[in-house]
Amino acid sequence: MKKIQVLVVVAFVVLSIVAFSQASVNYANVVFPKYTGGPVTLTVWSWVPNIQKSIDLFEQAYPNIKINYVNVGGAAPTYSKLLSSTTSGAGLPDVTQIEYTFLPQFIDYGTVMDISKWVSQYKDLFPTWAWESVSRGNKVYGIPQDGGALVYFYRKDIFDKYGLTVPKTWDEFAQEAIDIHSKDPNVYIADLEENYFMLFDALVWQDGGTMFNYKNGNYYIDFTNPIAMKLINFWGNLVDKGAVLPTFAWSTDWYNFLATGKIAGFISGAWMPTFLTSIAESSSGSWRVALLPQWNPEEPQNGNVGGSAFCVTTQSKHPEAAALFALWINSESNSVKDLYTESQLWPVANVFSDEINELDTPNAFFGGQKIMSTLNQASQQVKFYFGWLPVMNYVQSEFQTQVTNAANKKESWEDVLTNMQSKVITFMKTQGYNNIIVGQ
Amino acid sequence: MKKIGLFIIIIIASVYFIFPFYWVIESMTKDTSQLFLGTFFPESLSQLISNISKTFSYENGIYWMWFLNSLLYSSAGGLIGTFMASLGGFAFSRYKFLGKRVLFILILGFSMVPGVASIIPLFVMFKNVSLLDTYWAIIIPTFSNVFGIYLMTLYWNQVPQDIFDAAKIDGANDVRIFFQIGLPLVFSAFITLFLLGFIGIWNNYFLALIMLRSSNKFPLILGLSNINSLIGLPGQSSLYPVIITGSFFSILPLILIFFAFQKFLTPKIVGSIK
Amino acid sequence: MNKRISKAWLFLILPLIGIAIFTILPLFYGVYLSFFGQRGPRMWYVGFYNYITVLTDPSFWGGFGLPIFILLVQVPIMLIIAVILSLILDSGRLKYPSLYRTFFFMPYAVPTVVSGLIWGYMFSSALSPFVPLLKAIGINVNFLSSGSLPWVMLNIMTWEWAGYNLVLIYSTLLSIPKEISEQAKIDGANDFQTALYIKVPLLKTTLLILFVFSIIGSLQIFNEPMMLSGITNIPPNFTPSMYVYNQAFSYGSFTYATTSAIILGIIIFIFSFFFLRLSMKQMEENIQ
Repeated sequence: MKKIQVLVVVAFVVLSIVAFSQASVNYANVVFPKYTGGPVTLTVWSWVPNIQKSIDLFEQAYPNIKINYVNVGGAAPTYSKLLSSTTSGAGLPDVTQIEYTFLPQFIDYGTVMDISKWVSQYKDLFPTWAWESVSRGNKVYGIPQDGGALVYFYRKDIFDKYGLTVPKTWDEFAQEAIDIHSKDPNVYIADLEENYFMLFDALVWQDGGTMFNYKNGNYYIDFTNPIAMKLINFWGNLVDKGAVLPTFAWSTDWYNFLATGKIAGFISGAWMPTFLTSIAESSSGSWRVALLPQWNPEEPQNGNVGGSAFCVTTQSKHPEAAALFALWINSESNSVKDLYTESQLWPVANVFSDEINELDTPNAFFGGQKIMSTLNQASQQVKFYFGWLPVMNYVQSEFQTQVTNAANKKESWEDVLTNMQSKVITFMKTQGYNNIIVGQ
Repeated sequence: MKKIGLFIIIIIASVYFIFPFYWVIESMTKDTSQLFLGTFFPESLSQLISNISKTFSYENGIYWMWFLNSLLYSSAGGLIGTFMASLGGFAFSRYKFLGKRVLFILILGFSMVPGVASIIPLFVMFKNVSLLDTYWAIIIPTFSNVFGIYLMTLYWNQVPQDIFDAAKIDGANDVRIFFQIGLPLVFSAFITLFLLGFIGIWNNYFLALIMLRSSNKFPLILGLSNINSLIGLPGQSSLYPVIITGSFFSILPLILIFFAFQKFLTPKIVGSIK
Repeated sequence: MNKRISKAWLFLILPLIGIAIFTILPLFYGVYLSFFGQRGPRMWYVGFYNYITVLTDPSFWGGFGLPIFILLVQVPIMLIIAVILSLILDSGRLKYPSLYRTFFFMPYAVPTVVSGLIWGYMFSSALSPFVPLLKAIGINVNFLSSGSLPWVMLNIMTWEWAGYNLVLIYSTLLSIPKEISEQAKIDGANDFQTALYIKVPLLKTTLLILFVFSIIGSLQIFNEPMMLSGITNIPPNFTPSMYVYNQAFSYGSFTYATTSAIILGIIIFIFSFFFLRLSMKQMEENIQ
């Protein structure tokens, strides 16, 4: 009897240990594949600043692989070169940075290759939505690098002055926006960025909706779905009431509004703090970061704006080494740390969440707030994923035209989405896409 | 009384046309935060000097590169275009040949086709032969100077036939006649056309915008617009003084050319009122 | 006779090759491309589909709004200003007319890209010296709001080109023989009447030619709105040239962009041809 009891206890203990060790994957101790080939030099196109430290770490871990890092000058010039090199059949680098939103376009052009055979066993190193962003079924077209979960930036001093609190629900938010507008017509706690479709899309994402998708080889287009309509009406009404300021983001005037406090609160991605620090230098110390208001506070969700992947091109002569580089630099624990501290990205790799505690220090610009925990919480709230359309430039441009019209009362807010629906479908058909399904 | 009224109108008009030049110069004496204040008065001389040095040392002195590029494109392009126009004008003016009328009308017709219709296909053509993002992409299109040939023909037509007949009698061959006698006679027209070509290429934004990617090949105006698109990225928010100072120095060469070559550039409508 | 023909071609060959390769060939190649659809590196034959799409695209035609505004409002205003200023300079009542002419002509020396940037800054809420001035007297204005953009463009175009037009008009005035105005004086006309009834009619040809240049120019406006687009919200089809540019370089639809460029080119050609013939007729009448 006693012997059996001891055996049971031992078995229980052993099983518990096994169970625990499987439950808490240690992302910092991942065993990466070895590189067994001869010495190679990889060309990498990217506009990530100050990435040298991460590259050095990689070259130390893989002495046979040298990295030739080229900054082609930003997203647009890079995409344009990718297109011409794909067309002419030569000139593509081994690895290139591509934003998630533009990846479908380059998959379609034939610029990037499927690297699943070298990396698919590492998918657990990344959040599901990020891995889905770079995959189509079992094919993997890149390694996710960074993200921009939505957060709310605000001026605590201005909020205090008018007795405002950070709203927890969107209804509270709407009410506060209207209140402050009546108290002081020159202060806004949010702006509607007419030229930033991705931000609006992230807000729809936050409510669990999507205006397009890619499933089983078909593109789904549904700009007029109920969630999107609700969102456009929500923001449109606030603009009509004067409670939200329509702006042209990243323009001289926009920077001025942020610097002078005319925009005392706004929504952006987790990558924004660095930019805000230099734009609103004069109000350093007064800003804070908070989670977005929720539609349903019981079940918080979030959307993501921005972020890129490192992809291997179809012209690479060393795809295995290239895939290895993309994987390692975006998931190895020290490299990921440097991506944050040196390049100021918000890495999506799961290991980064574990590193938050050690990296999170009081941020002077944000008045001593430890912002990383808030940003991390926001990132964890991004739940699902959808596929982007291969014509995002056109979508963004149309959004800008339509929203500007609506803000100037030339059309209704619902027309914005209705018009976009028909125009985007027409455009894709002109581009020869036959695999369009209208709906979800 | 009327005199003062007219004088006031002229002064108001002068202020209107001169004011932006004044604004640029007084803005060059300010830093970014002072620019945001939007005053009408200059700030400090030391800031002016600092802005100038910042502009010329921006990105390791790429401003100089842009300036020299503009100089290169405009001079080479102007020279080539004007020379082509002279050759063509000489041929049309001094010779009778089969198909001359038809060819001339065709040339006139093509001079009316706006550049926008041919520039995208030209881009695709250059892309296919890997000429994109090279100096040639800007210079070799200047070989085509349709309007210039038309103008040169008119100028050549004004040269009396006797001079050429005399040279022929002296036994000179046609090439010698062109270079040693013909060109000097249309010298002022040559200069005018060269200056027009120079100025046109100096100001040509669209062609450079679509053909060039490497910042070290940019002409000056493309470089300036490039800096303008960078404002707002971290560490770059103080670029306004650089753009404004850079703009000033981009205007300076053209103003100098205008003053130095006034007589070549004062346009005359062909066909006077008599 | 044979020798004559070959000699001309000796001089013609180089310029004609230049024209063939860089003006004619792109046009034909463009027409060829316009019959193809394109996505990224792939092209496929689509017949007249591109042409139909362009001609039925409201965005394409929407882009003509600004050039038409410029043509119907800015150009007349600018020409009137240029004529008035020229007449004043020519009136003999001023001490240094050439000095003022130089002032008026100086904007012509500024590249249009630079004047777009500078005026954009001067009109932006952040850098404008006018905004604080107006605020001080209680007027809050945003120059760069979408409703006022056409007027902003009107101001920029007038500033850029009034001087050029003025110089041409003024030199036409200068070439009017003195006897004519002296005769008018003897007949009892004062300076104002001389200006209005004698000088202005003689400017008809010049004004017509300047109007033709303005048409061609306004239909191709590109540089200034491109500079403004970094400062404020400029629709991608603000002018037809911007529509063509964005189709090619923002959406990557090169063949479609070429088609729209060809259609734009045809429209410009028709306008210039029509007005040029009109001005030729005027010139012929004048010579008679």
